Amino acid sequence: MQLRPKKKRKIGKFLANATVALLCNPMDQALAEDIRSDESELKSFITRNINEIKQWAKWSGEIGFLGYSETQGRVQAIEPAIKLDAKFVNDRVWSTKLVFDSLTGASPNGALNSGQPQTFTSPSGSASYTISPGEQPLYSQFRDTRVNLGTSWSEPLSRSVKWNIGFNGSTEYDYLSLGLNTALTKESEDKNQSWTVGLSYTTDTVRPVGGVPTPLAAMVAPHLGPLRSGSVEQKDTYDILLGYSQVMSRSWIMQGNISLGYSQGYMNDPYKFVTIFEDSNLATLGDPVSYIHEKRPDKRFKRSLYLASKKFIQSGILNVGYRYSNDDWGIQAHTVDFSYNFAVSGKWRIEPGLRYYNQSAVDFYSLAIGNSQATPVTITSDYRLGDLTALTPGLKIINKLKDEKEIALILRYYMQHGDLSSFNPVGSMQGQNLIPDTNAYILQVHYIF
Amino acid sequence: MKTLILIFFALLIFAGCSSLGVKPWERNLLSKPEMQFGVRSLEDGFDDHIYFSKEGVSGGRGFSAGGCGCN
Repeated sequence: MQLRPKKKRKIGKFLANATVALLCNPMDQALAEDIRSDESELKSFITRNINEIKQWAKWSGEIGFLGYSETQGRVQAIEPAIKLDAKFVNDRVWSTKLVFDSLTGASPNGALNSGQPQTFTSPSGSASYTISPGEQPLYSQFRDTRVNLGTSWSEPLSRSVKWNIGFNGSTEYDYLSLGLNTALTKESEDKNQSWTVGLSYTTDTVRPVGGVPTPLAAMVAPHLGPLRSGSVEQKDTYDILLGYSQVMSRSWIMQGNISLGYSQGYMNDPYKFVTIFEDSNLATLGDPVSYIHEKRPDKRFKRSLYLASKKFIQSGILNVGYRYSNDDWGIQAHTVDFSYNFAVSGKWRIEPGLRYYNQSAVDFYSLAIGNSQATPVTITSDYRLGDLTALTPGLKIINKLKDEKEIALILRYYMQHGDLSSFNPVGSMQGQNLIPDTNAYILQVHYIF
Repeated sequence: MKTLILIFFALLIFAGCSSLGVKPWERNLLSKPEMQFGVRSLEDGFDDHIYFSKEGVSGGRGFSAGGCGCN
């Protein structure tokens, strides 16, 4: 906001006096009183403007912090976030969320563990790194910082219908994502039922470090490149969400969502390899021969059903959620999560919980390919698209402050285990830990105001 | 896909059960924040980001809050 000229002069005078006071010793009594008076007026000016902003709307929000740390020196992340909601007259709400995400550590590059030392070219194509025998191939210079801003506006169109529109943007060194979403929600007259229809469009731009690697091309030594297909790629995603919620009784509410999503464009991980191994020469059976860049389909149609229940049981709230997902890449996944939120004293609540996740691999997933096999049209060794199960126990500790404020601490431990499934390790592969587990400590702190 | 459509229509039929629900004066428990869906926005956002980055599927609870090069 613009400062009026008189206020500018007051602030200028305050700063000038303060500078003189710092340089002069001993301080002049009259000068000191002048500074105190200006300081008091400045504080009063700032407080009046903050109070004026506060009166525009009813403000609420949340400050959150996430700490994420994988074991074995892998990915570490810290993620502070802030959310602000301004509720205006007639139930109109403006909501904004800002998240910072800083990642470091080591990330699997898709190649298979081997009893031989392995050397890989770095993502930039200008350097190499060597993995010791028996160690999981990890790229250890993984660094990224991401900023995500989301803002939305919600307003009633009638007594029972509400509409909202939102924008989301996320940027990091090699990735930009921009999206719009809108939804319509209708409540029944007695507010026991609600229906939601939502649409979302997101466009992503990928600029991999070192350029876009040619899919299925062999990895080359540093500076021998480029074997690149350009510097930038795009991906567009369209989503539709149909939601329904039902009040079952005084102490029980349920919700169900169906989501359909269609993505088109670049979906490869530009930093992931697939190992080609020796599958016929007995002397070197199982040894890595070369590495190729992965290639995924350029279209993906996803479907998901989500059911959730909140029920008061024995003076606590039992939360149960189930999600079934599948897509035309062949993945099928089941997610079940439970938690029980209950009071331990007047102001303290705790919520132990457990999440179970099971996924079947995409059709084009393989741990590695034998060198006598033809190179498939699409292939990935990214463990995140393989057969896997994950279990996440957790505990949330909540302290209820006055005026509906709340502070919470969440501790979780993520344990993911991959399955070899139909892959048959041969030769020197046997005895290697071909799919190391992924385990991570999760800490969250939240302040709701 | 057919299963999903069947389940969704089952939920719609469920919606026709007018015997379910409460009167306005019976909403004391339902008005608690712990009984609201979607209020834990930052917590859900953090969780969804972690699971989306480590697993092959994402979303389902609502619209995701911005893409990233995680998966």
